[in-house]
Amino acid sequence: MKTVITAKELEKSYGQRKAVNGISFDIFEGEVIGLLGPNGAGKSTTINMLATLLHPDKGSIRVLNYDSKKDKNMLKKNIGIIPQDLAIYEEISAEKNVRFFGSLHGLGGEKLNQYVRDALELVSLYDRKDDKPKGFSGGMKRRLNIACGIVHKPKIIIMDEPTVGIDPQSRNHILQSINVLKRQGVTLIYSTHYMEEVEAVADRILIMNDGVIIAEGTKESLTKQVDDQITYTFHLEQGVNFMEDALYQIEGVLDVSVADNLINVTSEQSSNNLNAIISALLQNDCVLESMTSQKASLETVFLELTGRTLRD
Amino acid sequence: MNFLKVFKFDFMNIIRNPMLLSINTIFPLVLLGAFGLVSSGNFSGDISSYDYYAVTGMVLSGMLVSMTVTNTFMEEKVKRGNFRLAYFPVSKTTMYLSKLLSTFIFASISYSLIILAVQYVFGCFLGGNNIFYFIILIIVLTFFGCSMGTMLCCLLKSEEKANAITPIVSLLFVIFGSVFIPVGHLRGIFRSIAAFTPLKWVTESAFRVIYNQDFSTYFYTLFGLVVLSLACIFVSQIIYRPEDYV
Repeated sequence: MKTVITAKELEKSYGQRKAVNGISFDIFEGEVIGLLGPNGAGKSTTINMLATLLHPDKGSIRVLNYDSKKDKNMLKKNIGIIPQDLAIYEEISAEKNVRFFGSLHGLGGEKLNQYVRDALELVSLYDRKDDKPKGFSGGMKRRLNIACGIVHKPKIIIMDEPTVGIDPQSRNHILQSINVLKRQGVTLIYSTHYMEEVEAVADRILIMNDGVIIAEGTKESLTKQVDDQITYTFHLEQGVNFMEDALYQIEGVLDVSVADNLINVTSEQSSNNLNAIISALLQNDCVLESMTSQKASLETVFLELTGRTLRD
Repeated sequence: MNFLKVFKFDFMNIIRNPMLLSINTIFPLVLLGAFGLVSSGNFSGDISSYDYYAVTGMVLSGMLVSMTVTNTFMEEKVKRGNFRLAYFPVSKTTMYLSKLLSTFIFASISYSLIILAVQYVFGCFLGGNNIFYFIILIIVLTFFGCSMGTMLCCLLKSEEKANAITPIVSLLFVIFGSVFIPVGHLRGIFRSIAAFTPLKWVTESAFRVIYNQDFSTYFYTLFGLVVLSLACIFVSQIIYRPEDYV
């Protein structure tokens, strides 16, 4: 497979804080890479280095064989960035927004008209092309934000948390657009701290924490590391105060978290300790309303590797 | 090529903003009319209050244009879209210079038309046939105002700080330039500061050209404003970093 992005030993500091600390990765043509990690992991810094907005303190980046320091403009012409912040003009129509950003990539005339139409249709905003974003919902603004970044049909697209703060319907819409781009053979880097989004679209996942890549692989290869783990979620009828130690004493229990009426217990599946867990809860005067279970996920992988959750 | 596209876009953004449009068109006329009316009793002879404030009002506008630049650069409705340009094959010079020049061109056209209207429609005296020297003076002052406003945006990096600091700096120039209050007639440090204030040079040159056909300070004033403007642009080029805004 052809390598389109090569990053070697990237480092970037802000004052005393090292935001990215010696990461290396290769990305192949047509892949969708999920860049997963909590807030402050270094995802946006990594993306801004790929976009040539930031220069790495150390290391190198090559995108489509262009060096990020020497060939900035050529690199920028061949990638599309969807920034985390909504970067659109609210007082001009959706179509004019996309048209302006498309023109900056050298598009013009009939080609620009067609590309603008294609971009708006991809994000299902063509029927609202004459409306101003100030009247759009948050999800629609996010979709327009995407259209502005992909109008020039780049070979590589980088999305920095494109679904922040939007409703589930809009999020699904965006994920569907990503699948369309995927089928078109675009190489896509998708940065998020939502595990379920990465699971839905990514071919390969890079998990970042504290400026380093702590795990890399497909969803299957990553969750295999914690294959034996299962998380039980107990819904209680009312709030409860009880000692978590009572559960930790049960063999195979790895982690317990309590929040209002919910108790999450992560355990080794092979220890077959469900009955013991339920008994411990009942002995502590917990009134169980319902129970669900979930096998190992990327969240579990992250917890195993770092001791905290993706949303911490 | 991208510079022209961004410049044109920024120019249209100013026209689409009702507040910026009215500040640079109606406001100077309102200022002239209000001050002229209020102080009409203080003037006699050949120079009316309207004649006086037509000059000082345009000088004030040429300086306060720095706030228009601030809004063109960083106003809430446009700043995110503006900062997105950092991801495009657009030079950093284009990013700030397009705001400066679009504001400058817009304000220059507007102020030139206002000056012509004030003399030929409203009957104020702005030099008769020498009116074009006054227009050029105001245009160059406007360029300085735009350059200074751009430099402050690049220094301050945020809309809130720019909107707070830029008017203060502009008004200090206006006060020490003796545009409305004759600070230059005070003794000591006030007089010294006033002597070095560009607006003092502009106001003095304007009245000399309009009433005495005296060009002895005119070209030095133009030269000084151009040098200061280029200095502001130089500072902007050095300190502006697109990544600071993303």
